[in-house]
Amino acid sequence: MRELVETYFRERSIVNHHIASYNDFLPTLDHPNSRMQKIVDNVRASPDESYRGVIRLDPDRTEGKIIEIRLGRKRDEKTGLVDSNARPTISVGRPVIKEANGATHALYPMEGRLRNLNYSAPIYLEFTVVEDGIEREPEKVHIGSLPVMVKSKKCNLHRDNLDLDREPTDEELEKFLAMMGEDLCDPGGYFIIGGTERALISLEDLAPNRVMVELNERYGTSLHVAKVFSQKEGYRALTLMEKKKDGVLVVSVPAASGQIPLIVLMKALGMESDEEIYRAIVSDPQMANIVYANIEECQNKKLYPPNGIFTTEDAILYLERKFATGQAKEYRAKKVESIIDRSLLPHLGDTPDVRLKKAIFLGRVAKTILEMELGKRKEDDKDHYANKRLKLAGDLMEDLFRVALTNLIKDLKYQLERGYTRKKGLRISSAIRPDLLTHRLLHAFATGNWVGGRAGVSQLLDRTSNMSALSHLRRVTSPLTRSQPHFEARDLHPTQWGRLCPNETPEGQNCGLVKNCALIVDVSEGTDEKEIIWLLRDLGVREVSEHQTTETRVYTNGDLIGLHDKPRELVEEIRQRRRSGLLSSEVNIRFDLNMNEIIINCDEGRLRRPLLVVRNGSTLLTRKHLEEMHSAKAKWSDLIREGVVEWVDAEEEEDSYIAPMAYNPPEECEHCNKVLSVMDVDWRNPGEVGKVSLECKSCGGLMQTESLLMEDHTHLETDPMVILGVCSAVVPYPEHNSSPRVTMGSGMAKQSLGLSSSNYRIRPDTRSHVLHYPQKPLVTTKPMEFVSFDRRPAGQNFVVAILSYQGYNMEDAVIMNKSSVERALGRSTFMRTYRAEERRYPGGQEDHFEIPSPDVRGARADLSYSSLGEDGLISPETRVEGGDVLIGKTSPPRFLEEEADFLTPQKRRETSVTVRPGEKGWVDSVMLTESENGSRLVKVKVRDERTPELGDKFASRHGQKGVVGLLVDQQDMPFTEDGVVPDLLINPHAVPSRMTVAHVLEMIGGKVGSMEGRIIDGTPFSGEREEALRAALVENGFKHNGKEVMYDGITGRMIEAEIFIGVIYYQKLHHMVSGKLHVRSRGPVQILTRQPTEGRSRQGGLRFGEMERDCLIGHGAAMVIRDRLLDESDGTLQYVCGNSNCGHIAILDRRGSFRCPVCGNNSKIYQVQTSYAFKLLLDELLSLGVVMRLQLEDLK
Amino acid sequence: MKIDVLEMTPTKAELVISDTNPTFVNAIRRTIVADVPKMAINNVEFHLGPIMDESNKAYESISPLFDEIVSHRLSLVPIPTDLEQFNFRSECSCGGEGCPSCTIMYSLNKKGPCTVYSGDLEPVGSEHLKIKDDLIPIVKLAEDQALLVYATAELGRGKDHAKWQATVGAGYRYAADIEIENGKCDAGCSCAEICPKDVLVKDGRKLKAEHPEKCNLCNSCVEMCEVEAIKVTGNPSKLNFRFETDGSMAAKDVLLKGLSILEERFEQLREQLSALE
Repeated sequence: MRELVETYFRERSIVNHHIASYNDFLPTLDHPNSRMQKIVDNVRASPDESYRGVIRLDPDRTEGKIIEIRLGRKRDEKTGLVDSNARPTISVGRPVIKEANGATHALYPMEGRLRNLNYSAPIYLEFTVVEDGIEREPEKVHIGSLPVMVKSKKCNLHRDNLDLDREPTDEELEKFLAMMGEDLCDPGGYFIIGGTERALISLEDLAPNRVMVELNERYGTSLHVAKVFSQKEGYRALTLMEKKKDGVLVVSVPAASGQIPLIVLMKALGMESDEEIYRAIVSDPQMANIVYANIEECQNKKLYPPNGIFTTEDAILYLERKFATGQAKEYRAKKVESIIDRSLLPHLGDTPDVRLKKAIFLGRVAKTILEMELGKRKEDDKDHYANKRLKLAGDLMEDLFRVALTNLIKDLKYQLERGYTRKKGLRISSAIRPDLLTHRLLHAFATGNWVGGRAGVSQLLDRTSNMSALSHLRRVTSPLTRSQPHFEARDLHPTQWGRLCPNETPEGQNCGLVKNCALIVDVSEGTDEKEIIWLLRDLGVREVSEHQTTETRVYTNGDLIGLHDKPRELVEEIRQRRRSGLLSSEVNIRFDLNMNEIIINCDEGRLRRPLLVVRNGSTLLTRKHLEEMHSAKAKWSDLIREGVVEWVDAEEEEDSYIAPMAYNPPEECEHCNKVLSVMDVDWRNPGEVGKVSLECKSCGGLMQTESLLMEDHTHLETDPMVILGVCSAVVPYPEHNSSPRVTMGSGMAKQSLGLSSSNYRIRPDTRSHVLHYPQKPLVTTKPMEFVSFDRRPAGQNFVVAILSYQGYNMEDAVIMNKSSVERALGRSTFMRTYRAEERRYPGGQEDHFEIPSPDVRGARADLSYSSLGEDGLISPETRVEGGDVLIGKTSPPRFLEEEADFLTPQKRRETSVTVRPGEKGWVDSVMLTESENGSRLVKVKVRDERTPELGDKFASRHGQKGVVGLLVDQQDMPFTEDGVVPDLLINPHAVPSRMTVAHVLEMIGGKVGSMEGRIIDGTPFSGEREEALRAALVENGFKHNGKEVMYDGITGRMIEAEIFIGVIYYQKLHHMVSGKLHVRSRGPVQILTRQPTEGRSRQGGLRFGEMERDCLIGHGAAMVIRDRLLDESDGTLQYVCGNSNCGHIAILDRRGSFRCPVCGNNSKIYQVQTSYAFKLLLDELLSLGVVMRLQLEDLK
Repeated sequence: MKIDVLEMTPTKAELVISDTNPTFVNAIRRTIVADVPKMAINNVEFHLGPIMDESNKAYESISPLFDEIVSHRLSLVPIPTDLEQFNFRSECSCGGEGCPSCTIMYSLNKKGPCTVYSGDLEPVGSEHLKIKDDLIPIVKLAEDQALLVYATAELGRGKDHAKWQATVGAGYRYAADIEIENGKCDAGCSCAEICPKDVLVKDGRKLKAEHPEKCNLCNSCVEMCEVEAIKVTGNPSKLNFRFETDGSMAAKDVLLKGLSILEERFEQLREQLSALE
């Protein structure tokens, strides 16, 4: 149902997940309980402190005064809890820039991009000092700057931040955005750091705080292992429990080496009674023996001297001995305390009062293992999406900010304690170092190295085309290493249906690990689970006393809450409450009949998808809803609130029966005989049971058809196309293609050139491309509207004929019409921005933009600077080529002490910026501005027109890529009777084995579209039918199969075979010959080895490697080897001391006489030809104290 | 050889040439596409720096499109061409310097906000050189943007660049010989339905090729007919030839010029051959 998809995108943007997540992180007036505030409430200067949100200064350092500084919100004295609606203490301003001269003004993204600034806003925190119990006035202090996500609530471009006294209209907003130099289609959702746009990549991780059991095949025996990834406030710990071969259950805790027997640990946690332990574990009489054996094991005096372990003291003593042997008593106690309180299952708490809870939890873990061993439970599926959580921009910011803030607070405490004097009192604003926080945040953003050792979290936003940017913002990566196989993790899992795109993943080493979100997804933000627990208690869920029960166990967020005897009713009740809005729509619930468990989730990071609710064989959606959607009045949030549509996570989906569609439309309209596609009919009676009544959209006739919704269906799919990601969804008719081709097609959409943004003339991207005449495809898909592909297209509609032409399109080459190319087909512009700054150096010296005078060291000939203005800058529209100077710049000498002569000033160095070798173009624009630290900054953009040439890469949207093999004059190309000459010829062999049927279909569609002057709908699963397109071809005077009679342009004769010809959307990919072409005859060499440099960017040579050398040896081509390896590489003439007991390298000194610098010999010096690398080896060995003497002899 | 002119308008021509062969007509097609000269803008000079208007207001000499795109767009504008009047620049008496008998100068001066059209090109000199197709959009200028260019058109050939192609959509087809074996035909007439050009018509109980001249040899009917009652063959001695021009020259002039070029070539060949003896 496309109306639903339209309704969704009317309300939410394509990168809504990132922006919503970041907004949840930001403290704003309407969001007092933000994640940032929660971090502040719970911040601790060091992990051993028990109080949170407060700094307590050491009284020894404050002359005995008891000073507390409160940063978080005030806690209730009795419960120690924070009122979640209390006024926040942390606040974030709007993005500003502080100039070097001290002035500040509001910063807008474009200025950030142009001036290499950080788009960040100041963070203020209220500190309340409590001195000896007396509370002072709160002090609001600037604690650092926070990178602001573009288009988030704090962004200056956000609708609410326009500084109008009313809500701006859409036109006003657009006008404002245009005035600020923004692209109206820009989705936001990224950050601007140092002028570059950075996207935070969503991370996929295993769900924390759940018990996962698995079977480890090790040394031929299978081990039953249970794992718990505990996670609380960024602290992660993995607790592992396994059953050893002898039946002993042991636990591994991080920070404690070795394994602890489970029973010992439970006793140490305060569960002394064996009966209690038994009850905490056993759920089936069959397990009893194993548990008995485990308990008895602990009582073994030999294993656990002196008397075995019976009490908590015994157990703790055992742990002390195990982990801190021979230490002092206090230290031992502290060590064990830290293990059981902080390292073990930290998600349950880190204070001694939750120990019993941990013991019960451990009992449950043991129970799970034993259940699996007894075959009552299956191994948990780690790749099931119910066991995965996503970390979005907000979650990542949370992790980063927590660490940065803790650092800041630690430093603040230290500064306050160090500088405290009674006279001066406390001055927080002078003791705090905001740069500490700011740099920490910015450094992580700039390098991508996040807290927790994750690299590549922030990436440079891919602006090749609009699609690549959107796809980049919807990317999900897995932390699994790419080198290991991980076959299961790479496979498409059934639970990814509708959540992650089945096709959009890279090929090669990252295949299946890097994924992309499907079109409509929602990542849960999490609600308070306490509410649910209260509700469950109200609904009759009772506490667990023992596990041996037939009642259904109820879990919320992986925690066992209690038991219930009527699971179906309970689940139904909770679902009803959610659908009627009594319960948050974030909650998902599932009844697992096999395990007799109810699983409720309300945590964050669950990837959810929307489904239409079906009850008793009909949807809750009615005709009224549909009509409201048609007239654009309906709102997605209302549909959710009414319970017509609901967000379902992978867990709840296991408990659902989902109909893929409500009806199959009849093949043809009964009234007008039109071939019907899904889009040609209108559903008249949704929400009604029985037959489906359909209206033909072209003739208005009514038809009846069978409903596919059955009594036991719980949901109906919204629209099949939403299972695809943004890049696969722009492939028309993907359901007709073989799957790998769709994957390749979506991969190539990200490399295609088009109009990546409308502000391309002012954007200072280092590299960017723009296609000259981008066109909207003739065969479109519905999702293109939502990703604004029709406004930011990347490709052109080519007339393509499938035939060979003198063999120049063999092996995926393509032949292009030269005249089409001359009419600007596939023409693009490449732009590169060069930048230079007048840096300041310590000692007061600085760089200068100027034409370097001839006495500057390394100055070029005057001619090189001829196109520069007096200010050292080139002017726009100047033709430049590789090596030409764009910015004349001189720098102070590198080493100040270089020349001892004090009378003559030292020579400055020439550090001009030149055009990259091999590139050319016109200077497009020259921007002169000031950087953040007040020095002049210049950016020169050079553009180069790129007309298609031999070797440029083109691709259709179906993974059919090829390089240009020949450009043919129009008169030589085959033509049809109408004089239509194709733009492109592809080889017939490209189609059958690849099974890209949609490619053929699109060509037919394009042909119909161009004849009828309309856009063809090729939406996945619901596009215009093939039969309809074929009929339209005949109507327009073409043969029904798209083939035409063609005539050879050279001989003029009719081509015997009929040629398939049509119009299809082709993309120009950014792999162009001009960016790869590379030759070298002579060129630069490396300084150290004097061998040719490597790589195109350094005009390097192509390596003549070992195997190539072997080949020449095989041929006996000695002179060729000498030529390649010596003469054309690092061959050198060296003078060698002929003194047989010296044999060092001699020199030819300034006066022209030979001399051995080692032995002083100056008569027996010989010239020897060798590779410089050999001479280097001699020198390096010398430095090691090894002398290699060269003993010379005459050739015999 | 017999020629029927079906259509001959200033921009379009359709002829039926009988008693010929495709090689011959193809030679004409190739000649009018690649060899018939026409005028097109070959040199565009942009004014850089601020552009002043009468009230001394300064405009920036910039547009949303790059200069090379603007000049490329200008180059594709059809320039009215009178082949009698112009010589090739390299062969002109001026020695390639550019003179009124080999080049046309156009000036274009427009200030934003506006759309610049091909009609804004003002010929320097005679007014009849004004662009006929005057509503081809060149570029849209925003506030404070202006375009001031001098463009020079000269004569060129289609084989050198597509901008010098006067002819578009030049193509021909073989005439069709349609044989219907009435004995075999069961008059199911699904062939008449599938025929995209409506060549076949059901005439009572019989199938009739009513418009054989429309047939493009697509063979749909032959493939459709299960009883193999239809046979369609192309006749390479009779061709339906048609082409259009871009408006810079009349279709007839293009054709005549094309023929004279061919004639000239054969003349040269003849001369050289006779010189052999």
